Amino acid sequence: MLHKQIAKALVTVVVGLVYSMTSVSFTVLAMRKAQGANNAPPAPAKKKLVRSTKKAVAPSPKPFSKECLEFLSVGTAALLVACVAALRMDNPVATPLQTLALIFATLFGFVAAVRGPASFNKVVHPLITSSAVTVAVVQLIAKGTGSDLKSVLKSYKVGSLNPMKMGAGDALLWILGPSVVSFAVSMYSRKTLIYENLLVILIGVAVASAGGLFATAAFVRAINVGNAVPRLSLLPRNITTALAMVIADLVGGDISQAAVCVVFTGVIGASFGKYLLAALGIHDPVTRGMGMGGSAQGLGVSAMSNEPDAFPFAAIAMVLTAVASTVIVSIPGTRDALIKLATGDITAAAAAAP
Amino acid sequence: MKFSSSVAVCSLALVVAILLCTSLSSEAHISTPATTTSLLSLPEYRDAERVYQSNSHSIHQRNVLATEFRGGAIKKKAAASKKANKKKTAVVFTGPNVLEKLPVDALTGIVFMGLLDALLKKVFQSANINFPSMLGGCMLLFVVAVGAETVHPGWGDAIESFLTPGSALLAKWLPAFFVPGLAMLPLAPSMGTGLDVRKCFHAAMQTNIVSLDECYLQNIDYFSYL
Repeated sequence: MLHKQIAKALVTVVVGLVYSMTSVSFTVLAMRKAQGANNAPPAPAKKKLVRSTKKAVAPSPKPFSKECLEFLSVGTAALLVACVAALRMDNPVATPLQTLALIFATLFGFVAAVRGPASFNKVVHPLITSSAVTVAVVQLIAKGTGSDLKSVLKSYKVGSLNPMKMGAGDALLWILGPSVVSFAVSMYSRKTLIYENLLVILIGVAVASAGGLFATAAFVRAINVGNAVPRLSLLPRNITTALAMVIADLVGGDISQAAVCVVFTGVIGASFGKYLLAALGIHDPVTRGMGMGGSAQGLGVSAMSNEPDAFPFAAIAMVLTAVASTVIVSIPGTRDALIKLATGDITAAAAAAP
Repeated sequence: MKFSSSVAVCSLALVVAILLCTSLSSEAHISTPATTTSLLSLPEYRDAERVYQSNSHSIHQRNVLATEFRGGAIKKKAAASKKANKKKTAVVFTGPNVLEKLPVDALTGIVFMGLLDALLKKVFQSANINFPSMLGGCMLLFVVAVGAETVHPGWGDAIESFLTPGSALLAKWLPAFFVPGLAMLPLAPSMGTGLDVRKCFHAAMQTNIVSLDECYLQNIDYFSYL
């Protein structure tokens, strides 16, 4: 029974991705055609030309150095020992030490994953590896202190920023604040592009955000996914994780389930998004970028990096879709309507409302 | 009892610090400042000039490899450049002032954005507005920058260049900030047993739905890759 519920959630992610990609792409394409854009497929390059312009490209450098990884691994190990010792002695500095140890473990897991073999990262996303490392370190702490995983994990995020109480999760989630604020810099750097294609972008973003939210709400209700919490957690599936967690929180979903849905959507979008767009006969770069950014968030955007004309639009669509979706969910009326559509129960909407 | 345990923890912390320093200085040319800056360094592909010490050598090695593919004529140039780079790296690593190596501009930008977020959070709370302060800050910053550029050309760009290093640094680490969301999954309301989750995971793996394009790891834009 529960197995079926998880399968339904996966179906929602896959169908939702296809829906968002097709709806955004065809809406933008219609507008682009009305503006006189050409959707013809690019002319195939001549073999001779390809050979002459082919360059040996060295692999891109890893974003993190070996020294950084060493520092984090040694720090994690040392802090883990210190934290377990402090916890066993019931010392008041045990909590800050545990917080530090888990911050180091999280960063170590992330850096190790990013620096890891590309073939492994193709199958397992670094975010998943990093989370697994964090949970493994939590398990080690639990074993070392004779406790259980869940009770230690509860102290990972306690919802306080008091240095003597806060968990590693609180500190890391706090940094999400300035990170989301910094999206403004990215938007500003592309302001000319936004201005020149304002109408197309606005319509595309409206379809991706409002269409994505309400269609997902209707779909999860139609196929009868689990109870209210997983249904509401699935709503921000096509929104970048930073704001997907905010949206899940606003509608009364679970941020962990929302994060998993977002990761799955991104992975599938990055793997198959370009093939789907090609199969749908969409060759206009603006349309391809908008379709990918509005449906598969950051991973989809990264997959467009070898299409220089489409890439900026994918990035713009990703950020603006996230912003627009959060605005929609922040309005009490639309939030309640969305929750009601997803759960079919007005009491759930009342419970989620502040 | 409490005092003695505090002393024990303090000594342990001291041992930890010594361990860290020892492990970091085990490589003769790398000192703690180099590691600190490697933790805080900006993405290399974005702005080559902003690459900090610890990564520069490996990048250069790759560049040399790339040029060697292209032809022997460039090899000499590359070798000369390699020498120059080595020299540069050595000077950077042995620099006397740790603070000089810290990306102060990036940290200033992050502190500014953090303060803006915190300020807006208080304002929204006091006005009883249920809107994420981070998004409010993002929109406010964008509107202010565009407005400033309209009123006085150059002002908006100045704001952008002030915040770009911090924005790039945050983007480099951004996916790590999502980990709490996934790591807390064992505490999430149940959707299934561990066995159910495993079954679904295997089903997903068998249908090979996860075969990512390699590029995503190497092309972190200002946005996160999620």
